[in-house]
Amino acid sequence: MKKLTDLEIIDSILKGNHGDFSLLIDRYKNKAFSLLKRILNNEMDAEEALQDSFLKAFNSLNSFRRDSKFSTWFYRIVYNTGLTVAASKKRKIEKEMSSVDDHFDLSAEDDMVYATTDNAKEYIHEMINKLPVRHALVIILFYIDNMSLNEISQVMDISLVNTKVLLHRSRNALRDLLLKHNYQEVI
Amino acid sequence: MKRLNNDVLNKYVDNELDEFEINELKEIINSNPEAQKQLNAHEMVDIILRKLEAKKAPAGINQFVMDKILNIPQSKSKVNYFFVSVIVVFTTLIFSSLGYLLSQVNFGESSSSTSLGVKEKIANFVSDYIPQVPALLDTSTLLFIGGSLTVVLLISGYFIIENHRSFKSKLNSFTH
Repeated sequence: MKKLTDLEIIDSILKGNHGDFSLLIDRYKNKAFSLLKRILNNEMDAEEALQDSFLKAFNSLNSFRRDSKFSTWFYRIVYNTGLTVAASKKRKIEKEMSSVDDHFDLSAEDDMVYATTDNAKEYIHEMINKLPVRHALVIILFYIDNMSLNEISQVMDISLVNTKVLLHRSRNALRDLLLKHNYQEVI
Repeated sequence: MKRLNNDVLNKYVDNELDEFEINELKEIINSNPEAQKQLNAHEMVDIILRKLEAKKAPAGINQFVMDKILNIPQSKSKVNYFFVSVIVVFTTLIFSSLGYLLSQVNFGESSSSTSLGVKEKIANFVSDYIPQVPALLDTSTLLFIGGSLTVVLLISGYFIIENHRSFKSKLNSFTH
Protein backbone atom coordinates (compact mmCIF):
# COMPACT_ATOMS: atom_id res chain seq x y z
CA MET A 1 0.00 0.00 0.00
CA LYS A 2 1.26 3.47 -0.88
CA LYS A 3 2.51 5.43 2.10
CA LEU A 4 0.75 8.79 2.23
CA THR A 5 2.90 11.89 2.46
CA ASP A 6 2.40 14.35 5.30
CA LEU A 7 0.78 16.83 2.91
CA GLU A 8 -1.67 14.23 1.57
CA ILE A 9 -2.69 13.38 5.14
CA ILE A 10 -3.09 17.09 5.97
CA ASP A 11 -5.26 17.64 2.89
CA SER A 12 -7.47 14.76 3.96
CA ILE A 13 -7.79 16.13 7.53
CA LEU A 14 -8.66 19.58 6.23
CA LYS A 15 -11.38 18.03 4.06
CA GLY A 16 -13.00 16.79 7.26
CA ASN A 17 -11.43 13.35 7.74
CA HIS A 18 -10.24 14.18 11.25
CA GLY A 19 -9.51 10.52 11.98
CA ASP A 20 -6.55 10.72 9.59
CA PHE A 21 -4.72 12.82 12.15
CA SER A 22 -3.90 9.55 13.91
CA LEU A 23 -1.56 8.77 10.98
CA LEU A 24 0.48 11.86 11.83
CA ILE A 25 0.45 10.94 15.52
CA ASP A 26 1.81 7.48 14.71
CA ARG A 27 4.46 8.98 12.48
CA TYR A 28 5.79 11.57 14.91
CA LYS A 29 4.92 10.49 18.46
CA ASN A 30 8.16 8.66 19.29
CA LYS A 31 10.50 11.25 17.83
CA ALA A 32 8.63 14.14 19.44
CA PHE A 33 8.58 12.27 22.74
CA SER A 34 12.38 11.82 22.62
CA LEU A 35 12.78 15.56 22.19
CA LEU A 36 10.35 16.42 25.00
CA LYS A 37 11.85 13.91 27.38
CA ARG A 38 15.24 15.56 26.99
CA ILE A 39 13.77 19.06 27.48
CA LEU A 40 11.70 18.13 30.52
CA ASN A 41 13.70 15.27 32.05
CA ASN A 42 10.46 13.70 33.21
CA GLU A 43 8.31 11.07 31.49
CA MET A 44 4.93 12.34 32.74
CA ASP A 45 5.63 15.96 31.84
CA ALA A 46 6.89 14.83 28.43
CA GLU A 47 3.65 12.89 27.86
CA GLU A 48 1.54 15.89 28.84
CA ALA A 49 3.55 18.15 26.54
CA LEU A 50 3.25 15.60 23.72
CA GLN A 51 -0.55 15.59 24.02
CA ASP A 52 -0.62 19.39 24.02
CA SER A 53 1.66 19.52 21.00
CA PHE A 54 -0.57 17.26 18.93
CA LEU A 55 -3.73 19.14 19.93
CA LYS A 56 -2.10 22.48 19.12
CA ALA A 57 -0.93 21.12 15.77
CA PHE A 58 -4.43 19.86 14.94
CA ASN A 59 -6.07 23.14 15.91
CA SER A 60 -3.55 25.19 13.91
CA LEU A 61 -3.42 22.92 10.87
CA ASN A 62 -5.24 25.59 8.83
CA SER A 63 -2.39 28.00 9.47
CA PHE A 64 0.30 25.59 8.23
CA ARG A 65 1.50 27.50 5.16
CA ARG A 66 3.45 24.69 3.49
CA ASP A 67 6.50 26.89 2.86
CA SER A 68 8.41 24.50 5.13
CA LYS A 69 8.11 20.77 5.80
CA PHE A 70 5.30 19.70 8.12
CA SER A 71 7.92 18.08 10.38
CA THR A 72 9.77 21.39 10.82
CA TRP A 73 6.50 23.20 11.61
CA PHE A 74 5.40 20.45 14.00
CA TYR A 75 8.74 20.17 15.84
CA ARG A 76 8.65 23.92 16.37
CA ILE A 77 5.32 23.45 18.15
CA VAL A 78 6.80 20.55 20.14
CA TYR A 79 9.92 22.53 21.09
CA ASN A 80 7.93 25.60 22.19
CA THR A 81 5.40 23.47 24.08
CA GLY A 82 8.28 21.75 25.86
CA LEU A 83 9.73 25.10 26.91
CA THR A 84 6.30 26.34 28.05
CA VAL A 85 5.67 23.22 30.15
CA ALA A 86 9.18 23.49 31.61
CA ALA A 87 8.51 27.11 32.52
CA SER A 88 5.14 26.25 34.06
CA LYS A 89 6.80 23.54 36.17
CA LYS A 90 9.41 26.10 37.14
CA ARG A 91 12.19 23.91 35.85
CA LYS A 92 15.44 25.75 35.93
CA ILE A 93 16.45 25.10 32.37
CA GLU A 94 17.21 28.76 31.68
CA LYS A 95 20.75 28.31 32.91
CA GLU A 96 21.30 25.40 30.59
CA MET A 97 19.64 27.18 27.68
CA SER A 98 21.49 30.43 28.25
CA SER A 99 24.08 30.71 25.49
CA VAL A 100 25.55 28.79 22.63
CA ASP A 101 28.96 30.15 23.59
CA ASP A 102 28.87 28.58 27.02
CA HIS A 103 31.35 25.75 27.42
CA PHE A 104 30.39 22.64 29.25
CA ASP A 105 32.23 20.09 31.29
CA LEU A 106 31.06 16.48 31.35
CA SER A 107 33.77 15.17 33.66
CA ALA A 108 31.51 15.11 36.74
CA GLU A 109 29.00 12.75 35.07
CA ASP A 110 31.54 10.90 32.96
CA ASP A 111 32.97 8.63 35.64
CA MET A 112 29.58 7.43 36.82
CA VAL A 113 28.29 6.76 33.30
CA TYR A 114 31.52 5.02 32.30
CA ALA A 115 31.28 2.76 35.33
CA THR A 116 27.71 1.72 34.59
CA THR A 117 27.89 1.09 30.84
CA ASP A 118 29.29 -1.91 28.96
CA ASN A 119 30.28 -0.56 25.58
CA ALA A 120 30.86 2.57 23.51
CA LYS A 121 27.32 2.61 22.15
CA GLU A 122 25.69 2.47 25.59
CA TYR A 123 28.19 4.97 26.92
CA ILE A 124 27.55 7.52 24.15
CA HIS A 125 23.79 7.12 24.46
CA GLU A 126 23.97 7.83 28.17
CA MET A 127 26.34 10.76 27.73
CA ILE A 128 23.93 12.46 25.32
CA ASN A 129 21.59 12.89 28.28
CA LYS A 130 24.40 14.63 30.15
CA LEU A 131 25.00 17.18 27.40
CA PRO A 132 23.50 20.65 27.94
CA VAL A 133 19.88 20.74 26.71
CA ARG A 134 20.43 22.61 23.46
CA HIS A 135 23.41 20.46 22.49
CA ALA A 136 21.41 17.30 23.15
CA LEU A 137 18.41 18.63 21.22
CA VAL A 138 20.52 19.35 18.16
CA ILE A 139 21.90 15.79 18.33
CA ILE A 140 18.37 14.33 18.63
CA LEU A 141 16.95 16.43 15.80
CA PHE A 142 19.95 15.76 13.53
CA TYR A 143 20.38 12.03 14.16
CA ILE A 144 16.96 10.74 15.23
CA ASP A 145 14.70 13.08 13.29
CA ASN A 146 17.09 13.30 10.33
CA MET A 147 16.61 17.04 10.07
CA SER A 148 19.00 19.30 8.22
CA LEU A 149 20.91 21.96 10.15
CA ASN A 150 18.79 24.59 8.45
CA GLU A 151 15.57 22.93 9.64
CA ILE A 152 16.98 22.55 13.16
CA SER A 153 17.84 26.25 13.24
CA GLN A 154 14.21 27.03 12.33
CA VAL A 155 12.83 24.70 15.01
CA MET A 156 15.08 26.08 17.74
CA ASP A 157 14.99 29.64 16.45
CA ILE A 158 18.76 30.03 16.40
CA SER A 159 21.11 30.89 13.57
CA LEU A 160 22.43 28.25 11.20
CA VAL A 161 25.98 28.99 12.38
CA ASN A 162 25.04 28.45 16.02
CA THR A 163 23.24 25.21 15.15
CA LYS A 164 26.39 23.96 13.47
CA VAL A 165 28.48 25.04 16.45
CA LEU A 166 26.21 23.09 18.84
CA LEU A 167 26.41 19.93 16.71
CA HIS A 168 30.18 20.11 16.26
CA ARG A 169 30.86 20.82 19.94
CA SER A 170 28.69 17.90 20.98
CA ARG A 171 30.47 15.52 18.61
CA ASN A 172 33.88 16.83 19.64
CA ALA A 173 33.08 16.37 23.33
CA LEU A 174 31.80 12.82 22.79
CA ARG A 175 34.85 11.97 20.67
CA ASP A 176 37.21 13.24 23.36
CA LEU A 177 35.44 11.06 25.91
CA LEU A 178 35.80 8.00 23.67
CA LEU A 179 39.49 8.73 23.30
CA LYS A 180 39.84 9.25 27.04
CA HIS A 181 38.41 5.79 27.72
CA ASN A 182 40.26 4.18 24.84
CA TYR A 183 37.02 3.14 23.22
CA GLN A 184 38.56 3.68 19.80
CA GLU A 185 40.20 0.28 20.13
CA VAL A 186 36.78 -1.29 19.74
CA ILE A 187 36.35 -0.11 16.14
CA MET B 1 45.12 21.89 5.54
CA LYS B 2 48.31 21.61 7.56
CA ARG B 3 47.00 19.65 10.50
CA LEU B 4 43.92 17.83 11.67
CA ASN B 5 41.47 19.96 13.63
CA ASN B 6 37.86 19.74 14.83
CA ASP B 7 36.55 21.64 11.83
CA VAL B 8 38.16 19.21 9.38
CA LEU B 9 36.95 16.18 11.33
CA ASN B 10 33.37 17.45 11.39
CA LYS B 11 33.45 18.36 7.72
CA TYR B 12 34.78 14.87 6.99
CA VAL B 13 31.92 13.04 8.73
CA ASP B 14 29.42 15.42 7.13
CA ASN B 15 30.89 14.75 3.65
CA GLU B 16 31.74 18.42 3.21
CA LEU B 17 35.37 17.96 2.16
CA ASP B 18 36.29 18.13 -1.53
CA GLU B 19 38.57 15.57 -3.19
CA PHE B 20 41.70 17.65 -2.68
CA GLU B 21 40.98 18.08 1.04
CA ILE B 22 40.25 14.35 1.45
CA ASN B 23 43.63 13.51 -0.10
CA GLU B 24 45.33 15.95 2.24
CA LEU B 25 43.54 14.36 5.19
CA LYS B 26 44.70 10.90 4.10
CA GLU B 27 48.31 12.13 3.98
CA ILE B 28 48.01 13.54 7.50
CA ILE B 29 46.54 10.39 9.05
CA ASN B 30 49.05 8.15 7.23
CA SER B 31 51.93 10.05 8.77
CA ASN B 32 50.39 10.62 12.19
CA PRO B 33 48.93 7.71 14.23
CA GLU B 34 47.44 10.16 16.74
CA ALA B 35 45.51 11.84 13.93
CA GLN B 36 44.30 8.43 12.78
CA LYS B 37 43.03 7.72 16.31
CA GLN B 38 41.19 11.03 16.38
CA LEU B 39 39.58 10.44 13.03
CA ASN B 40 38.52 6.93 14.04
CA ALA B 41 36.97 8.17 17.28
CA HIS B 42 35.16 10.97 15.48
CA GLU B 43 33.77 8.56 12.91
CA MET B 44 32.78 6.20 15.71
CA VAL B 45 30.75 8.91 17.43
CA ASP B 46 28.99 9.67 14.17
CA ILE B 47 28.25 5.96 13.51
CA ILE B 48 26.88 5.42 17.03
CA LEU B 49 24.75 8.55 16.86
CA ARG B 50 23.30 7.43 13.53
CA LYS B 51 22.08 4.30 15.29
CA LEU B 52 20.25 6.31 17.94
CA GLU B 53 16.65 5.27 18.27
CA ALA B 54 13.69 7.36 19.34
CA LYS B 55 12.23 6.66 22.76
CA LYS B 56 8.83 5.01 22.64
CA ALA B 57 5.96 7.34 23.40
CA PRO B 58 3.57 6.09 26.12
CA ALA B 59 0.88 3.71 24.90
CA GLY B 60 -2.53 5.32 24.55
CA ILE B 61 -1.30 8.71 23.40
CA ASN B 62 -2.97 8.16 20.03
CA GLN B 63 -6.31 7.27 21.63
CA PHE B 64 -6.17 10.18 24.07
CA VAL B 65 -5.45 12.80 21.41
CA MET B 66 -7.98 11.39 18.93
CA ASP B 67 -10.72 11.29 21.58
CA LYS B 68 -10.17 14.98 22.25
CA ILE B 69 -10.00 15.85 18.56
CA LEU B 70 -13.13 13.92 17.60
CA ASN B 71 -15.08 15.66 20.37
CA ILE B 72 -14.36 19.12 19.01
CA PRO B 73 -16.91 19.10 16.14
CA GLN B 74 -19.69 18.01 18.54
CA SER B 75 -19.11 20.93 20.88
CA LYS B 76 -18.94 23.26 17.86
CA SER B 77 -22.35 22.15 16.61
CA LYS B 78 -23.74 22.68 20.11
CA VAL B 79 -22.50 26.26 20.08
CA ASN B 80 -23.99 26.81 16.63
CA TYR B 81 -27.33 25.52 17.88
CA PHE B 82 -27.27 28.09 20.67
CA PHE B 83 -26.60 30.87 18.21
CA VAL B 84 -29.43 29.75 15.94
CA SER B 85 -31.78 29.81 18.96
CA VAL B 86 -30.68 33.34 19.84
CA ILE B 87 -31.21 34.55 16.30
CA VAL B 88 -34.67 32.92 16.13
CA VAL B 89 -35.76 34.54 19.42
CA PHE B 90 -34.43 37.94 18.31
CA THR B 91 -36.14 37.75 14.94
CA THR B 92 -39.46 36.66 16.46
CA LEU B 93 -39.41 39.47 18.98
CA ILE B 94 -38.50 42.11 16.42
CA PHE B 95 -41.23 40.97 14.02
CA SER B 96 -43.80 40.75 16.86
CA SER B 97 -42.95 44.31 17.92
CA LEU B 98 -43.17 45.58 14.36
CA GLY B 99 -46.43 43.73 13.80
CA TYR B 100 -47.90 45.18 16.95
CA LEU B 101 -46.84 48.72 16.02
CA LEU B 102 -48.23 48.42 12.53
CA SER B 103 -51.49 47.00 13.84
CA GLN B 104 -51.92 50.25 15.79
CA VAL B 105 -51.80 52.19 12.55
CA ASN B 106 -54.83 52.42 10.27
CA PHE B 107 -53.65 52.29 6.68
CA GLY B 108 -57.15 52.77 5.27
CA GLU B 109 -57.25 56.45 6.20
CA SER B 110 -53.91 57.32 4.68
CA SER B 111 -54.41 56.06 1.16
CA SER B 112 -57.61 57.38 -0.28
CA SER B 113 -56.74 56.51 -3.84
CA THR B 114 -55.56 53.08 -4.98
CA SER B 115 -54.09 54.65 -8.09
CA LEU B 116 -51.21 56.22 -6.12
CA GLY B 117 -47.71 54.78 -6.68
CA VAL B 118 -45.62 53.11 -3.98
CA LYS B 119 -43.52 56.23 -3.47
CA GLU B 120 -46.55 58.37 -2.97
CA LYS B 121 -48.09 55.81 -0.57
CA ILE B 122 -44.95 55.80 1.55
CA ALA B 123 -44.76 59.59 1.47
CA ASN B 124 -48.40 59.84 2.54
CA PHE B 125 -47.90 57.26 5.29
CA VAL B 126 -44.89 59.10 6.71
CA SER B 127 -46.54 62.52 6.58
CA ASP B 128 -49.71 61.15 8.21
CA TYR B 129 -48.19 59.06 10.99
CA ILE B 130 -44.81 60.55 11.91
CA PRO B 131 -46.51 63.23 14.00
CA GLN B 132 -48.36 60.43 15.80
CA VAL B 133 -45.15 58.63 16.89
CA PRO B 134 -44.66 60.71 20.05
CA ALA B 135 -48.28 60.00 20.91
CA LEU B 136 -47.66 56.25 20.49
CA LEU B 137 -44.61 56.45 22.75
CA ASP B 138 -46.66 57.99 25.48
CA THR B 139 -49.00 55.05 25.66
CA SER B 140 -48.66 51.40 26.75
CA THR B 141 -46.66 50.80 23.52
CA LEU B 142 -43.65 52.32 25.21
CA LEU B 143 -43.96 49.81 28.02
CA PHE B 144 -44.27 47.00 25.52
CA ILE B 145 -41.15 48.09 23.59
CA GLY B 146 -39.17 48.52 26.79
CA GLY B 147 -40.26 45.12 28.05
CA SER B 148 -39.40 43.41 24.77
CA LEU B 149 -35.96 44.99 24.65
CA THR B 150 -35.28 43.95 28.25
CA VAL B 151 -36.25 40.35 27.46
CA VAL B 152 -34.04 40.40 24.34
CA LEU B 153 -31.12 41.81 26.30
CA LEU B 154 -31.50 39.25 29.10
CA ILE B 155 -31.70 36.32 26.67
CA SER B 156 -28.73 37.52 24.60
CA GLY B 157 -26.74 38.13 27.79
CA TYR B 158 -27.46 34.58 28.92
CA PHE B 159 -26.25 33.13 25.63
CA ILE B 160 -23.13 35.31 25.55
CA ILE B 161 -22.18 34.13 29.05
CA GLU B 162 -22.92 30.49 28.14
CA ASN B 163 -20.84 30.79 25.01
CA HIS B 164 -17.96 32.35 26.94
CA ARG B 165 -18.09 29.53 29.52
CA SER B 166 -18.08 26.88 26.82
CA PHE B 167 -15.12 28.57 25.08
CA LYS B 168 -13.19 28.74 28.38
CA SER B 169 -13.78 25.09 29.21
CA LYS B 170 -12.68 24.09 25.68
CA LEU B 171 -9.54 26.19 26.07
CA ASN B 172 -8.80 24.55 29.41
CA SER B 173 -9.22 21.09 27.94
CA PHE B 174 -6.41 21.92 25.51
CA THR B 175 -4.03 23.43 27.97
CA HIS B 176 -4.39 20.90 30.81
